[in-house]
Amino acid sequence: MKSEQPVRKSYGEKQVTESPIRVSSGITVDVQRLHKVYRGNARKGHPDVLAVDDVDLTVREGELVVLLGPSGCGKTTLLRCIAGLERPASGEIKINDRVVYSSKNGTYVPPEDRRIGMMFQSYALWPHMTVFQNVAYPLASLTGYDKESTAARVQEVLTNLGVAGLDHRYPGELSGGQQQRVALARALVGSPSVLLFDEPLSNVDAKVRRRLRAQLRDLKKQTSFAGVYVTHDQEEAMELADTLAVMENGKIRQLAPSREVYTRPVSIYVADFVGEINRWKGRVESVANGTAEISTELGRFTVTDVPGTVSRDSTGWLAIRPERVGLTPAGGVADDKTHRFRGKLRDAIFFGARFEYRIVMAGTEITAWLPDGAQYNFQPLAGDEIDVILPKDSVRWLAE
Amino acid sequence: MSHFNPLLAAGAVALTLAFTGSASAQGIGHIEQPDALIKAAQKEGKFMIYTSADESQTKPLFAAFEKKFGIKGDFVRFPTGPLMQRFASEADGRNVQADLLSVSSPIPYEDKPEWFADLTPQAVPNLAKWPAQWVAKNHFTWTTEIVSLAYNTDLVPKGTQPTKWTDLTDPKWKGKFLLTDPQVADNYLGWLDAVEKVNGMDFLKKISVQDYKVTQSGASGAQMVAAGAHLFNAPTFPSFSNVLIAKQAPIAVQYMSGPSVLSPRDYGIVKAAPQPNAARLFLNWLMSDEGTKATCAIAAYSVTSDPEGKLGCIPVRDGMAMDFKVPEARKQALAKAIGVAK
Amino acid sequence: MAGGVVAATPSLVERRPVRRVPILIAAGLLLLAVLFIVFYPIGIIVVRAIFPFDAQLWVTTLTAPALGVAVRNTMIIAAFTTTISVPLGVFFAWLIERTDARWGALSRLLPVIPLLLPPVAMAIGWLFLADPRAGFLARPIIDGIQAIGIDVDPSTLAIQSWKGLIFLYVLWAVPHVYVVAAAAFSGLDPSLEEAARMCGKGRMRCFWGVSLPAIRHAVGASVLLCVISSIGLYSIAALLGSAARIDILSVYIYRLLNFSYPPKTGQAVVLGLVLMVVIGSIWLLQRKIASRTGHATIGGQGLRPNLLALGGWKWPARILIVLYVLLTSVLPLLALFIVALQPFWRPNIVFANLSFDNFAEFASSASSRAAISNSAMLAIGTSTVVVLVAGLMAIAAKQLGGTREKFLGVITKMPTAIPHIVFAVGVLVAFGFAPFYLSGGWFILFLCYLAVYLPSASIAAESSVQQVGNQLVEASRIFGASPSRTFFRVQLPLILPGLAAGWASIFALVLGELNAAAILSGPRNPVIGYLIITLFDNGTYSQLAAIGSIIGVVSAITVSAVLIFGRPKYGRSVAIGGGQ
Repeated sequence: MKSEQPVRKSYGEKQVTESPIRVSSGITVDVQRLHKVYRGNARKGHPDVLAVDDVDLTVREGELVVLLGPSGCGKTTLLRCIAGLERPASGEIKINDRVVYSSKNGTYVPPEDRRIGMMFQSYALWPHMTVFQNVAYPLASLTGYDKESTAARVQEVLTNLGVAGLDHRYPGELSGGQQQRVALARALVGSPSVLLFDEPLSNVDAKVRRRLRAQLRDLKKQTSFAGVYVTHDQEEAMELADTLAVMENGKIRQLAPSREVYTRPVSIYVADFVGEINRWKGRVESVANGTAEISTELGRFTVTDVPGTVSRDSTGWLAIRPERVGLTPAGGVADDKTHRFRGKLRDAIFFGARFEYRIVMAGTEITAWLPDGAQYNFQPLAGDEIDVILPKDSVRWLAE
Repeated sequence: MSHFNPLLAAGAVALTLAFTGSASAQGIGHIEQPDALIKAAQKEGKFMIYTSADESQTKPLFAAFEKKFGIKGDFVRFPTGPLMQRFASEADGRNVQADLLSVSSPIPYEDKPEWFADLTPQAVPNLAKWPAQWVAKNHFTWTTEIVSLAYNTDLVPKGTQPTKWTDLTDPKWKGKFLLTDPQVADNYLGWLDAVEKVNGMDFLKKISVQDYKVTQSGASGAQMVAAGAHLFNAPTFPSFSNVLIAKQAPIAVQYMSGPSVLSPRDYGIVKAAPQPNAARLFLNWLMSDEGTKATCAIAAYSVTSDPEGKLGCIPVRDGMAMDFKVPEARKQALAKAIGVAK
Repeated sequence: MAGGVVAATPSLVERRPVRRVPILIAAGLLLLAVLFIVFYPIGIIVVRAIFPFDAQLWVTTLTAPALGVAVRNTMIIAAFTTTISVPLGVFFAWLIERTDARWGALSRLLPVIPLLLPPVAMAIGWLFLADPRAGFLARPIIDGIQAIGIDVDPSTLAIQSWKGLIFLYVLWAVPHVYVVAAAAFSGLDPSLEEAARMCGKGRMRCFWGVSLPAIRHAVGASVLLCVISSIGLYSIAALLGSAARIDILSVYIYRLLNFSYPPKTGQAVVLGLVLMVVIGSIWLLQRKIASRTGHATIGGQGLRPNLLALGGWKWPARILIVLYVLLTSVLPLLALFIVALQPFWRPNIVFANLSFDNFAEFASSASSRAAISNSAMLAIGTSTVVVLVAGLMAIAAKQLGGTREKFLGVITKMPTAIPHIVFAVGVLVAFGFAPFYLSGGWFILFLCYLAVYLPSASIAAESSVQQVGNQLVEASRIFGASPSRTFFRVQLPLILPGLAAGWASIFALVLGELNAAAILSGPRNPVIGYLIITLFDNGTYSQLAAIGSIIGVVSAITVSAVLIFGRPKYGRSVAIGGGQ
């Protein structure tokens, strides 16, 4: 690790005004009321697209925020705005308390002056440079690196990422995983204040992806870098995120630790995006003190812990994760903590770590996941009548 | 890329000027190169000609002139079109490089008289002895040649070649000869105009169905004939074949009749010439007996001042002078009739 | 891994403040200079030729019956040339860049050999070969056919015909397509093709379904290049088209300027302006089609060229390539060389008469030697500067985007529409006299060539810029590089193979350029074009053939040297084919 502080050179023009020593607000990236519009062409019938719609986002020191959403939801645009590769329409972005974009006073700091590191979806390794040249590239823009310290720093980073000895190869001669690490090395080498990741794992096969994910997680633990990570892969998001931001149509729908997003999603859209969920359409009959009476085709439910925004007659979804659904042989009686329905097993599928049961009940279908082993004392066959148990505290009311 | 280049053919206008070799012996010689002019020219030391003539014609004359007077001649040699484009651009830009202009058409001189100096015996003493019919206000005709036909002697035995223009309509030549596109230069078009005047549009139409091939360049035409790709090429000028004949190629030139068409090569002095004295001296030398002899020693030329060939030139033959002022509409009609334009 | 990967106090390391003003100023000045060099002469010509406005001039020019015929013929030729050459050139590029039909790096050089011969030399070479009565190749064939009792009329097999004309246009156009397509294929991510192969597509379907669409930008550029250059090509049309009485637009315009006095410059300029609009529209159309669906780019992932095995088709493919090289280069060059050794062109080769006299004549003439070295220097200088300028402009255009990109694209194509000789007159008037006084020197030729070959260079540059993925450039900015560092370290090296393509063709084009030479060259600044025009008019084919052979040798040496030494070292397949 490079312990000595490189001396900061001073150039005549464009002096950076902030002190290099952080005035610690604890916030690495601060995005406020950000808008980004892609202009359409009215004559051709292409309307304007609001890619980022009034987004607030903060990334604290050492925090990795994962932007999750389907393609076109604006997550990459948001990332590129933070990087400076896109110019927003309005709003403010601060990196390490330095305003890098502000529509109010017309500030726009170009990407090369934002002191960030980034991993691209395509890795964006320069094919005409060796691994060494690629990784050393960011250092040339920094003061305090001479030839020797550059070489030492590059070797250090390559070694730490397990790709030492490749420095004279060209990217075209490396495997996908090696390229990945070189790209990561390049992103890290300049010790940037924030790391941005633009779906960096979407181009490698599943096995390599898992390994690299684990490596990233380790790296994160050891160095606690702050970063923003864009992905459409729910598992990847869960594994890496300190905070998960689920995006839809340019807006952040929910910003919370991943466990909270999974267990207490704010909408069916968010719930659906972070995992599978059973759902029935329903209507609020009455609501009081965070408890609502919901009518569905399965009957009436009492649901606790509903958001204050829910009002009478609003429609939405009654939902439960498949792993929360219980199954017992037909004939038992519901207690006051569960709902109980009679159903008919349509199919049972073995997935290794779990069994998946698909049950038809009251004209609808429900999926239940039971861990492998649970079937020793209970082995229903397709066509059997069984009882489906829905724990009351696991049934959630979700807005559209 | 093509052009004709009249080196001299033969002709036979019976000119009756008193000037001959003996005339020069009688004392014209002393005014041939006035001392004052020589001095002024030698002070300038060099001159530049813009010409459409073959460099094999220009170079030996320059060498002889330089040997005699120590004045170096330089030339820019292009087909008339680019040559005049360049000359005109320089004249317009008031940065004239050329002292003399030599092309085989009177049009450039007559079109822009302001660019050329008046030709007078005061300026060029030997002009006094030049046949008056070949001298105009700012240019004079130096040599003439007869529009001819070049044929392959292996494929067309001597004696069986066409000799008059109407022979071209003979069905036995169908698909086997090469026509020079008359649109490429004024003196091919002058030929087309002349043969039509004598033989009529029907004659041209008969040629148009002869399934000939076309060349844009007399030089290329002669070589394709020498190679045997075509039996003969017409209209052409002997200068194109001379190089090949010298190399023993199976090619010969037939001076055509019915009508014999004369093509001139003219000279003029540029008004804004940077080296006017050297230019005048060169022209004066060229018009002297010595210059004429030197010219006709290079190849078979007809110099208009030596109509009977007494100085070693081909006698200037009788022929029909070309009309260089064919109206545009007639040009198109002629080209259409002979089948080179649609 | 240890904690040292990221510094504990990240922002302690300062980035150097980036200086971006100088490169922007430099680019802006360059653009202004180019605009000046291109449009000042054009402006002068237009003002002189068509102002004050004369409706009669437009009517006379555009209603000439011969023009209609010439335009129709030109369209037919351009259409046939493009539809045959583009597939053929792309196919060759695919065979050599993406399949195991190539053998050794040398095979990449093969299809570009024809580029080294100026079109006038190729046209003459083919005349020597294929004249039905005197051709080295055609005559024995026809004699042979007649000997076995079939009576063929030699005229029906003449090279001086529609068929012959299209044949030569195609031979001439294929390498121009090849270089653009090969550069694109060499940068193409092989995983695309591998994926297609894994999906069970056949070899040909892989080509049609995957490889071809992936380089559609380059294909679009080739179509554009083909159409524009077949409209402008003069030598083949003049030598063989005219012979067959097929009037082509380029010859028509040339005739307006060169075959009459005073030259009909006004008419030529009117046609030039109309052509400018046509070519501009074709360019915009091509852009629109190419951009509609996107295209494959050089990504940041490594590319390991994984050659497609052709199996039993390998040798037929190789034979096809060899046959093509034979037709375009070996045979015409051989014919040129034989005729250069002859005292004059004759179909029977008499060995006793062969000599190096024609070469000796050039070698002994100081002005010929000067012409060859001047042309070589001009060719190197012009092609280098023009591809760099075009590269910078293409990069700037891509970054600007939108209307400004289109504007830059159109103006860099405009010189194509002006006949070279008209343009050269404009250059002479613009720069030859006060206040520049460049007349008679090499610099004025350089300025003229710069403008005249800007379109070819910018087509090559645009195609290669489009091939470079955005992320490679963005990455450079993210990692703190100033725009100028990004240009010199990332963008330029990546588009270099594509620029080299433009470089090689422009080098050969400058070497054989005739029209600008006619106006701007002279005894004090002779170039090869000056010699060629003179010889075409008054020399022998043998002398011309000698010049053609000399040009071929000079081109071959220079282009190979540049491509060998300038060859990128990285794993991507870039040599002449890729490098082209």
